[in-house]
Amino acid sequence: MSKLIACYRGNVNAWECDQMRHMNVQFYMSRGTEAFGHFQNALGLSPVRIREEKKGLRFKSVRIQFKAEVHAGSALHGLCGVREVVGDTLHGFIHLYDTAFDRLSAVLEFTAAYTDFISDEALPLPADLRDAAEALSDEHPEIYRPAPFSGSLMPSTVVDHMFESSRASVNVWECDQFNHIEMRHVVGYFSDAATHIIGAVGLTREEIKRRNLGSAALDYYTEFHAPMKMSAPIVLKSGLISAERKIFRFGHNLVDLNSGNIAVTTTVVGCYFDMSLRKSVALPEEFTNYPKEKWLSAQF
Amino acid sequence: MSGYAETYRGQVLASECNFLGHMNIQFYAARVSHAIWSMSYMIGIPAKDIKGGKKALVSVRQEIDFLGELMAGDILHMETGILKTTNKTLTLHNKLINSATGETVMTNEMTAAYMDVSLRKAVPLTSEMRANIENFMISQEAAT
Repeated sequence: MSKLIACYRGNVNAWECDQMRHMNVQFYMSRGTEAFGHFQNALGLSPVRIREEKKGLRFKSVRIQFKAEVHAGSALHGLCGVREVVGDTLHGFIHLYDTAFDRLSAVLEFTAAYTDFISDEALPLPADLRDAAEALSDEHPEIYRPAPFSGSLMPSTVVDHMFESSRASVNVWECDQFNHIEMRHVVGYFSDAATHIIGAVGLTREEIKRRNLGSAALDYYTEFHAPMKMSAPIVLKSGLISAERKIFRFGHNLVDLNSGNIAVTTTVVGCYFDMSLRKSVALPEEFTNYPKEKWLSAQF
Repeated sequence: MSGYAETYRGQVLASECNFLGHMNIQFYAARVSHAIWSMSYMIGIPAKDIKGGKKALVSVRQEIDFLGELMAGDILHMETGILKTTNKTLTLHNKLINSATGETVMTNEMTAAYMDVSLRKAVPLTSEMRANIENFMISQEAAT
């Protein structure tokens, strides 16, 4: 009997697509958040229980590997599962498929902890939740699992040559029922920052468009160190980790200015592609000519 | 005659809830929109025609019964069957279900026309579509 859990079905809205004419990364995360509700319910954490107890699972880390772009009108469906339980941490995954072509579009591999949504404390797994998770645990060898994230990872410290790519406060409409920012909006900040990094290496979106180029994220690895609450003032610090041949790496640290702490750290791996052929190409020379001493990786 | 198929699955966002603390009616309609698209693929409208904005099912009539509240965090899914067809239309029956409780929280009966977007006109359902539609036909009794 399959231990896979049906967790999403829907379509890509036109307003979820960006200037690259494909669904923006933040909307993969919105599907991931919706899917996570079904994941929790399958473990006995029903929406009613979560509302009453004000406790549930919260992501500790999310790795999103983008396998194939989807466009306005694409049909999507999702399957998720538990890989394993390690101590009080659940390891799981969410697969999103381009339904019409039965093609894997994105993979979210995550770790999650049982958390008090009022105090934000991580708690031991309740016995019933642990039992349910262990009963559903499976390596799922029959379905795709990404290789470990390779290359430099952004540390959760601010290093030299990072610059401010966003300054905002967490809006009411960006929050969940417990007044914490939803993951979609966190990824939205990272997505917006890409344009500022492009500017930092000496390019503009207009010039990229003139060259008939687009950019795409291939892989995201995000660690959540602390929740971000409604109205919190935030600043995003970003920088270029490296840029070689076809691959660039960005690093982001999202800082909660109330505490001064880094709340979220992300490493983004991406590429440029020909907008007509939809095939990856060599990085623009502005990236590869960017002084290596300013690469964040020089400090790792 | 075979029946309902899943056409939507997701969750209620806090931002979709109004000052009454439940999901606002406009977001039920958003789920129905997802269901129509899913059914468009299921009955065999080619992906290139849907994504290329060439052919679509477009709603021309809806009747909605709101049967239960949905709160932020609730998980839900939609099941859709086809009640009847005409030369250019089909009538869908959509059931939005609270996935955690099994409660049907909304039913929606919708007539949708098969539209050629370049002509902005309804056109006849194809024979291939009619064959696929058989897989989702339901009786009026099943929809009540």
